[in-house]
Amino acid sequence: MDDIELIRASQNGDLDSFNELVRRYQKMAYNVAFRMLGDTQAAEDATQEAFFSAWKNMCRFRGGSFKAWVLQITANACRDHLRRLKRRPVVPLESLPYDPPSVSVESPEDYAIRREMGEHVQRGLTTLSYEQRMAVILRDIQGLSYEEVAEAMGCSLGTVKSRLNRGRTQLRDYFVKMELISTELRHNK
Amino acid sequence: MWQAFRRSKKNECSRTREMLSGYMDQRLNPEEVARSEEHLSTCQGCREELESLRATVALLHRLPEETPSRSFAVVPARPVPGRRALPALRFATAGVVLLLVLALAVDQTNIVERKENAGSYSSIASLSEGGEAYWVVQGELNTSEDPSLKASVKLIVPDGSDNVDTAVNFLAADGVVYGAIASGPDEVPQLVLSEGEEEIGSSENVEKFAVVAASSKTEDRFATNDATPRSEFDDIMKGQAGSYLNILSSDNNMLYSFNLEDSRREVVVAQDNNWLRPLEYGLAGLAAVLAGVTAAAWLRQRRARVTEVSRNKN
Repeated sequence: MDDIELIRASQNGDLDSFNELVRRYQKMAYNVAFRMLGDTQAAEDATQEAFFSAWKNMCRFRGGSFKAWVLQITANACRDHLRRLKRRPVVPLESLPYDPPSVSVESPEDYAIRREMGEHVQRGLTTLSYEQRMAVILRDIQGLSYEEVAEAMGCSLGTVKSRLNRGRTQLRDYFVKMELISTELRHNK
Repeated sequence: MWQAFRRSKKNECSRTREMLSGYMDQRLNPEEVARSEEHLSTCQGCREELESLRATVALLHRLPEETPSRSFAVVPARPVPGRRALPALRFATAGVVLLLVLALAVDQTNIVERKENAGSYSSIASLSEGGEAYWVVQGELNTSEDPSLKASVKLIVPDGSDNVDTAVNFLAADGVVYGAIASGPDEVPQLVLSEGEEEIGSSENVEKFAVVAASSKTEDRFATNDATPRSEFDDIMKGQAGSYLNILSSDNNMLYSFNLEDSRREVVVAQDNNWLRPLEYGLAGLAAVLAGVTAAAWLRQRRARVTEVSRNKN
């Protein structure tokens, strides 16, 4: 069954079809939430809220990219979560432990490097504004097209370009400061 | 001239750097691409800027993909016990609270007290236990030698009570309510003209009246100021056939005469709403219990809604 059939069935109330869509897109949504929030538990909560909201609002999906639609809902869930966190801060983001993937085929040394790099990148992302961070995550981590990013963020292509340019530049400045880029270049050589 | 060249180059650098992101993603039109590439071929700084941005994006690409520790599938909502009962509970709670408010309002305003008793008989009610039945006799002045004394008199006699306190409301034609007196069980009632609870005038000039039960309109007085055998007096007061109530002045001139049989009617003097108290307490208790049950049902439903989504670990 392709996405269109599953979407149509979901809109008719078929929960199994919807959960098949969840299975296809949950990893992507979770990764966006994780990169936005920097915390596994918060990311899981936001992702669950997003899919629950998607199920409740399936009738409002009018076609187009389902992936972009799911990511738009995920972005909203992340924004809500950040607002709640702002109102009732629990733990500073910087002090949150980074939870590396549990399954790895890398050597312990590579794994440690990637883990350290991941922590730095995550911290670099938190220096961006919400909009810039979302644009960079969707484009450069999730690999969405400009059109999909614009759809997911509910903005124009020009705005996507602008947010991406500023976000990348600011992130580049952070990476240079943390000497991550030189490390990256040496790694490539 | 050199400064102008430098300014122009700086502007070109700034313009190019704004487009580097789009250039990397091949989102520029051919003209913008050509212009950018032309500048990049001559500007080392902008080339380094482009390389650093490419390195930044490459670093982001290398980020490991995270694997969620569980599924985010949505599971059907399980029927929650009590969910259907919630609207009924709300309705019941609201109803009981409304009844409680009504009961409190009734208690405060004495709205159910009969109007007839609420005003002119209020002093009567205080003379005896509430809630008893009374006979009320009404009559006009028997003799009207002095038209200014024309008045109606209401005599309220406990019905069937062992406590035969008698009270009289003297309502003058001018609308002034004169107070009543009551007799003790063994006394002949005495009527004292007064306004409300305050006696009119001093003790020297207050006229005293004897309320005399009699078997006829003008004769067979059972008593004047003298004590009357209690049994006979009580029978008269209960309105037996041919019983009259005569009100005499202190010099035994008759002022008022009433046929008890013709004029009696039953009035129930309202109690002090004693029945409301248990009702109020009962309603308050019921409202508290219902509110508690409703709150518990609401919380349970809220929790169920939150856990409606699957929390099962993969």
